[in-house]
Amino acid sequence: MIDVVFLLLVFFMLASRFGMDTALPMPLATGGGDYAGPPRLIEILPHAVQLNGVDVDEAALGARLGALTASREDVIILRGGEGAVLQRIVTVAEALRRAGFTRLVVIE
Amino acid sequence: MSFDFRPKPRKQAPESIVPMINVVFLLLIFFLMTSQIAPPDPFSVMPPAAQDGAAAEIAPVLLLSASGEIAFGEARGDAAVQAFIAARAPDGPAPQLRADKQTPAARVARLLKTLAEAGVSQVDLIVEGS
Repeated sequence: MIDVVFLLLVFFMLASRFGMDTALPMPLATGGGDYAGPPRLIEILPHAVQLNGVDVDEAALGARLGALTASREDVIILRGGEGAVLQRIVTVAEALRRAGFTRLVVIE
Repeated sequence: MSFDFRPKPRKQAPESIVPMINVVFLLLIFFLMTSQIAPPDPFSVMPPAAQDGAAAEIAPVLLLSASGEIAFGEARGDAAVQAFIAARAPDGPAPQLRADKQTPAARVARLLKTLAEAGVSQVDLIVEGS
């Protein structure tokens, strides 16, 4: 019986995956017409961030967006530029999330 | 009078097996409770790091590798995307995307667009917590 229990133990040790994943919610652009207000397109480049085509300091992004939004629930569009990888998008999105903007839509 | 100070040969206590069984059972129950059985991923995916984020629920997971391979269960490529769209529960937790941190952003965006066109309103991006 102990053999069987050991076998089960080893099985569960090998077959299990540890650590709960964490998840960031990402709304998708479903073509709905709930976008309002001035354009808020953030182009994410590997070493820079552009807001509506103008280079912006990453730290000042929250304040600049505050002027373009009516509320923190407004949709903000993120676009990965040439050479940007997913980690970069997540880093910028996280900074925006800290600033209170939660509806971040990634488009192509 | 005896001057024999050598330690007395002690009789070896029989190795009791019951405590060991207790420990093994404890470990077994621990692994049963803490684990979720998962088949190994078909390719290695390192989720991006992020400080915040909510604990992920059990939901369908679509895998996207750094080189753009897509997998969902046994399916690969476009078939995987279709299977993923079909597998999501209408009222359940949001389906999850487990993408590598080195995936080009354009590749991720294209996949998200495909999902959005199929009517998926929200996905959870799996990240590596701190």
